[in-house]
Amino acid sequence: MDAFVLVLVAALVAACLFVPLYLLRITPIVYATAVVKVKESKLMDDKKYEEFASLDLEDFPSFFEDTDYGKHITAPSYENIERGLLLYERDLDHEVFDLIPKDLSEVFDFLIRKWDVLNLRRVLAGIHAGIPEEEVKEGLVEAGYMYDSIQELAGRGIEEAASALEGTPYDIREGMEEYRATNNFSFIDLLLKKRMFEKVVEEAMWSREKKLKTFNAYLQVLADSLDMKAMLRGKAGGVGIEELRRFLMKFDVEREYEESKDVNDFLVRLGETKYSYLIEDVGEGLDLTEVERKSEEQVLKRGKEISVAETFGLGPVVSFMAQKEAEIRNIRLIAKLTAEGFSPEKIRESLLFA
Amino acid sequence: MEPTLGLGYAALGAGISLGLAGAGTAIGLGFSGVAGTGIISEDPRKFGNVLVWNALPQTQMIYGFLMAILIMLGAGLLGGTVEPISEGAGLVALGAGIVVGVSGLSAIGQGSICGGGAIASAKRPDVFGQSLVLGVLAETPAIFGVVIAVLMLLAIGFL
Repeated sequence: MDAFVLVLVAALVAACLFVPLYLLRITPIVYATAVVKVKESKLMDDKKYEEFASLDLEDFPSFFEDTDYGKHITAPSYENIERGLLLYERDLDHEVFDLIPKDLSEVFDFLIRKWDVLNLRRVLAGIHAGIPEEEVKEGLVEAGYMYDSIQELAGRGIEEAASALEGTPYDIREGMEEYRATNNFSFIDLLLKKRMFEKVVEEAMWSREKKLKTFNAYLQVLADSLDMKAMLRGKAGGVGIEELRRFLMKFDVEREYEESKDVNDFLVRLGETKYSYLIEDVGEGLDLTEVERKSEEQVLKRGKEISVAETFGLGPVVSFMAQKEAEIRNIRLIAKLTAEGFSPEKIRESLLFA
Repeated sequence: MEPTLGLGYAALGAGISLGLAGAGTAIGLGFSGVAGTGIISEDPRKFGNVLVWNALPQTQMIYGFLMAILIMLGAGLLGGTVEPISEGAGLVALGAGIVVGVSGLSAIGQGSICGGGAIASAKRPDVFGQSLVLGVLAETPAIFGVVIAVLMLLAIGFL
């Protein structure tokens, strides 16, 4: 009988030890899930978009006054709204990064590094377009790991900037040959996106962390979408296979790319490949911008679905990020098209909905 | 009076009843509580709803506490004269404590449901009622446990 009592007491002690261990394991991700779900409840719905798309630019600040954007959107101009959205996005990225359990911070570090890429893109695009140094600097967002060194690039030429980036995670020398030959900034733009993305993929795909399963699935969708858009642009611009390969994460439809007569033919052939899910709603004769929008809608749809597949965990966080990114894109677009005088109907057609 | 082995079993039963049920509640609350803090960090107006979700996993600990009191009263460990009780009666009381303690671990599952319910209703307030029903359903094992434990105590004349 004494042995029985001893076993019972041991079981109780084990149960008591289990409590803190269990809580330590689940606490960070449950908290993150709760926070992003409340944030998700504040996302704009169709009705709100309808109302927003029919406003004049003058009414935008008051429309956003009581929302999370209110702090940054303060003046009725497209420039102020665009800048406000960037600052809001930066704050949100930092907030989400802080919410992510520390054991995954290396993977989600892209939320911070993303700002290096955006700043770098702005600087290089500014140099390419001949925008004055001060103006370029004013457009930068104080974020990321290389803010100061990127800022210094603003006054240099593009060749000098490419040399300065040598040895950093954003080495663009690989794309300079095409850029010099065509003077097309898209090559540098594509390479920067690839540079940021390949690091995330490297960190996440090779991680044995089970918690990253849903994130990896979404990452794959994003990689497919980026590659497909680059391939379509490449086909439309007559870029050869070898040149294009440098700008893609994975080039596994080389035969379709090479054998297709034009971009429409290539699009049809893509329907028979792993990219088919990205273009399932695409009708015939659509322009590339529309095809890209449709594929972004598919990305958003997949992002939303992830939350259903994984109620607690990274699923809701990834899903929220996908939806928030789409919302920010939509707000920016509404502001731009409103400023340019487009009708509410036309504006609505351009928005992303999953 | 020197405590007998029977009395020791009964006391152990009281301890297990509250101890295990309390552990269940602690884990369950850990889940719903963390979800709740996440929600009110974003929207403090949702404190009322969060409180409801955090109250549900507490009931198992209350059952464990009540059962512990009943066992201690029956064994004369509370306020009365300590009477020698048989080893058999002590084991039955221990069994009653175990059944309430173990069934009280249902608070873990309930806490998970409540955490999920709190999050779901924070996003969509219209699903508060349905989610609450699911949370309350997880109470069933604990209620059955208390019923059986009370019947056991009645059988040995503790009540």
